[in-house]
Amino acid sequence: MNQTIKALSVLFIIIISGQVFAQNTSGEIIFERKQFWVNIYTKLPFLTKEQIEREMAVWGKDQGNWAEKYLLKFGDNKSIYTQMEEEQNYGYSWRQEEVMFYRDYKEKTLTDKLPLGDKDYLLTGDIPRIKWKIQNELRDIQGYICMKAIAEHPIYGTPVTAWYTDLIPLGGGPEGFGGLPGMILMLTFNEDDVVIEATSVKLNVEGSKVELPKKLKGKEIALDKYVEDKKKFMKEALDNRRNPYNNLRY
Amino acid sequence: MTRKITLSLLFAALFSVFLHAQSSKISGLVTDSLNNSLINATVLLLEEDSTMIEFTQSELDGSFAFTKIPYGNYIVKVTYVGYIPQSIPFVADKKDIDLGRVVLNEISVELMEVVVKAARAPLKMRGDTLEFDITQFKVPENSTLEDLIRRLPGMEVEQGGGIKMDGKDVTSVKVEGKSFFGNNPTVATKNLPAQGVSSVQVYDKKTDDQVATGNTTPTNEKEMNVVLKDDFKNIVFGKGTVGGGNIDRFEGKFSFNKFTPEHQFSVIGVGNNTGRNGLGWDDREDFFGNQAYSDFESLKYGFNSLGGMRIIYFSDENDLNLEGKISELFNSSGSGGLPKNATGGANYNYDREKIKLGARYLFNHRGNEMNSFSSVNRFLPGNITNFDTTTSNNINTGNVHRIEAAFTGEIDSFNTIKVNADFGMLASQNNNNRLGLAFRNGDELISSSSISSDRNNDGMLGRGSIVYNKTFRKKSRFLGINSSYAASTLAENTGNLSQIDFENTDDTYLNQSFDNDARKKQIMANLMYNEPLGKKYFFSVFHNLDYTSQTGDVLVEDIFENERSVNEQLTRNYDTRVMTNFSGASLRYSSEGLNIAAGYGYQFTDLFGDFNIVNQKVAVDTTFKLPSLVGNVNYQISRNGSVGVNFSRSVTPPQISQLIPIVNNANPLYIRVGNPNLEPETTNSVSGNIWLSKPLSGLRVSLWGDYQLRQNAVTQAEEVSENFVTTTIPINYKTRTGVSISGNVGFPIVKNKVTSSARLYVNQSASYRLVNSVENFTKTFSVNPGLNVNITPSQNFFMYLNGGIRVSNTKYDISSAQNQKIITQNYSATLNFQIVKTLFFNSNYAHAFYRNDRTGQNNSIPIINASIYKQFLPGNKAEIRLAAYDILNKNTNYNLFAGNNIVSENETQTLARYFMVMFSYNLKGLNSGINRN
Repeated sequence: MNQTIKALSVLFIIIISGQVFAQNTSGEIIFERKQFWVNIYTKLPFLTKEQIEREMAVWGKDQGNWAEKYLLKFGDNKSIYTQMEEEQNYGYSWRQEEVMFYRDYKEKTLTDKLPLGDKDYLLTGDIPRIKWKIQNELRDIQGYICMKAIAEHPIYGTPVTAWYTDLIPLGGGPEGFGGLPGMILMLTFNEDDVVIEATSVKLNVEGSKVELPKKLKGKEIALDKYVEDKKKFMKEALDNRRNPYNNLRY
Repeated sequence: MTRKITLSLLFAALFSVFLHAQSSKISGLVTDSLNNSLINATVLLLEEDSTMIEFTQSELDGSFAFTKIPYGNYIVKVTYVGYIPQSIPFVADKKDIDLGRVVLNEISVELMEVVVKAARAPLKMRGDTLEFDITQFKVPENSTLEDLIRRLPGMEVEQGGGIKMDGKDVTSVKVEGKSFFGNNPTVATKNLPAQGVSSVQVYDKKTDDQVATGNTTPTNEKEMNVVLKDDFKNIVFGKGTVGGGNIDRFEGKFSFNKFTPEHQFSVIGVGNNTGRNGLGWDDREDFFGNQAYSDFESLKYGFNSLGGMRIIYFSDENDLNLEGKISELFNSSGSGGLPKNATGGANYNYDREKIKLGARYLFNHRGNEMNSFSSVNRFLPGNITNFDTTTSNNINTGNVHRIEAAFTGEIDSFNTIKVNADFGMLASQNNNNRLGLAFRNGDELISSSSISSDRNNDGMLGRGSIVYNKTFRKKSRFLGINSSYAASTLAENTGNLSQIDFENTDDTYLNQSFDNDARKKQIMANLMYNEPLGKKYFFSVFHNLDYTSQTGDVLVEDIFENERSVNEQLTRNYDTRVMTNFSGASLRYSSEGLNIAAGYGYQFTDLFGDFNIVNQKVAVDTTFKLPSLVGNVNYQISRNGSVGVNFSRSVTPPQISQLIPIVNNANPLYIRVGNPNLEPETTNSVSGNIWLSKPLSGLRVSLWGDYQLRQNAVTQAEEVSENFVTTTIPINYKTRTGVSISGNVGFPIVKNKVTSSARLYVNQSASYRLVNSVENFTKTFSVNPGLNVNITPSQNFFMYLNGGIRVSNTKYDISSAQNQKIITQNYSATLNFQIVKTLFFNSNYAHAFYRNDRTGQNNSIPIINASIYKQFLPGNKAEIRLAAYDILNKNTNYNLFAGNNIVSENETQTLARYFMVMFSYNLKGLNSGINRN
């Protein structure tokens, strides 16, 4: 009974606090997303110590040289996070994953476009609450002093670290993460598997509009179902001693 | 409207709950240390475990409040830019909780400027510990931990190396929580490189007494703990295997590796007479460390130079080639016989900041004895068949030493230089004895021959290359220049003894000695430039120059009753030079998964050759102008599927050895003559491919097709005499075509437990050959379907089944009565499982069937291998294995072939049944899981 009361009151508080922070902050942030393949691979549970160390010795220094660029536009209590057009390098073009995270902080709803396997999905639902734990660490990112907060990844169950600044008082961030007292400027998954860091922050950008694209291709799916499917795929891959991230966007 | 109703309903619900639940109002005031209110400070309400519940901002007067907070334990945390965050734990147990003044202290300017702003290092406050995560603290190269500490705020380093923090002495330094360096803390700080440190923690030192009693009164001494970066901790791994068996079989293998981020050192040693347990990919990676794949870059440019890779060369067990590289030894494959191998070497890599260095040495000894029997049926015009049988014994031994050094330096982020140097030394011996019989039309004996040769090779090679790569501020603009020089000498000494007894003519007896001193020099210079034209178009040009000169002195002596006389037909000296200039340009379009490229190239090849034979001088001087054309389209249908079409037309010049009009009769039954009128061959090729995969369901489909048409094709013209002495000369004659189609579908039967893949290869080839001036057109059509099934019901059980049939039809228009149909079938099963916890069983059964109804050849070879092994010692570091190879004692290397105007059968004796006991030890523990190997 006591738990229910606490949960309900927390829900209530969130509704209220959303209104308090309905400030009209707008801007554009460019994030660089780096995936560290060796770090991911060497944490797979089925490898022997020898295999892990061999991988580190051969490839350890050759990871993290390549970054994908993403743009987070925010304003009107909304934000949209999409991959920026890939610059062709020496003339070969691959199909890139179509990723979009759209957040409406006023309505507390989300519309995401995410791949799973060979299909693109359109996810809709309410913004889920992330249980952030606020830490005692500070760091500077692009001139903004950020506080550290940690949480558990809703799909992988691994640690997520966010560095947010209350100087941009909108509870958004890259990859759909948010709910903190300010904008997340850096996000890491499982310590060093994926690092997403702001490389440019522009506030009050003129002519920048946050709108959901009119045409959105993808199979519609509820957020919960998508999470469930992804978890299942992860488990199957690990049970069969495969690296799930070979075929999965982290 | 709806929303309003929902909200009021919710309010009503909450209100009724609140009537029963007890809640608090929490208030407070945020000020700085001078009692000034801090406005808009972020105030967080956290649960006891610091999970965030709610947040707000302080008002104009610094006040804040949270209302309707259920009773419980909470923390209020206040953050404000430039101030140290403050946390206040409290218990909400009454209606109004006033936390009073929450005072925030300013972060010292020093900390803020040095740690947070300048070093961009996270600053952590944890009770009495002040911690800097200093991975991003910039210090000059080669700095020690002491240099780093000097830069940390609040820390001082005294003259003698003593460390103080906030005026208190740091009396003990621990590394990873361990007191490594006795009582003198400066040993650690003076010696540890700063780059290896991930964080430094400083806290009040607790006396033993305090540790015992839990007394927390601050002391005057500080203790420092240095946390190392993970990758800085040394990686050491090593393993070894020794084994012995019946019929004198032995195997031994060891490797040891020590890797740090800057230095990588490895040694390896392998010796066996089983031909197994050679060197594979894992050994290659262990040995070369981070340079395991640096050999793959090709120096010559081409139409697809960017992203192009050198094709991996898999060397044969018996092949010791002077121009090889160390890496090639790591991917050898067996070829039957009775092998004896030994390899040993060491590698060192240095990798720091912008410099990579590698140096390695490897010694390799190869030995093999092969006894084989072969029979060849040759169809000649006029319904004549020639049936030859050969029994041969071939013994190869050889030693090779190789040294390689590689340097890569990044001058800056745009300029890279690579320098490679290598040196090789080879000594090999070959002894070959053959007994042959030649029959006409089945059973009429024409000749019997006995040929034996003894060959010794001694060679040396030196090679160096320099590569310069430049990238520019403009993305995709690229310049690559490289140059290389190689020089080698090879002294070959051969003694040939042959006796051929012809039934209808005079016998031939040859006793010759060959001495060839060959020298080779090769200079290459290559250049390429890539320019982006807008965002989607790219233009690139390249030029490759290759100058190869080969000179040599060949002395051939006929030996008769211990008298040596110079053979005037074969003794010569030669000087050949080949100069190739190849220029090309290509234009590419790339956007949204569509890639189109077209290229045109032009090659000039100048061939010069001077051959001085005792009474004759032969010269070759010719130039070939060879255009080439490529085009390809590749479209990525989706992330998991693509289609591609490629077209190419290229012209290949003849080899200088094919052009020399000299008769080579070293083998009196098979005489080769060069053709100075030989022209280049044109190859046209069209290919297409499709692949698709569904990662979620595990379905994979790939299809590939290729058509090749060679015009002005180079083929052999054979003149076969009455006594079956064959003289061949290379000629250009009509065309040669080849079509191949392959398909592969991988699909799950029981998801993740039973998977299967089906394959189909279809090949057709058609070629001409002139036999005694009669055109012989041979067409071979083969179909090769196959299926495999992978069964892994659990982690402790693995089964793999594979089956395939190859039906090959060969039609000879010279002698259609001899059309051949060869059927080869291969079936295999692998079964691996865990018997009990550390006891495992591996087995493999392979059965091959060969059939040719026309010749009545019908052969089947079943092979069964099995082993049982037990792992022991903590961490499964040791393993003892009992293994049985070829339990049925049937192993042999067998091959059936039909093509051109021949059908052949070849069988090589191979190591058959033997048993072994093996012991392995691995510092890191052995892989205990069951898998394919």
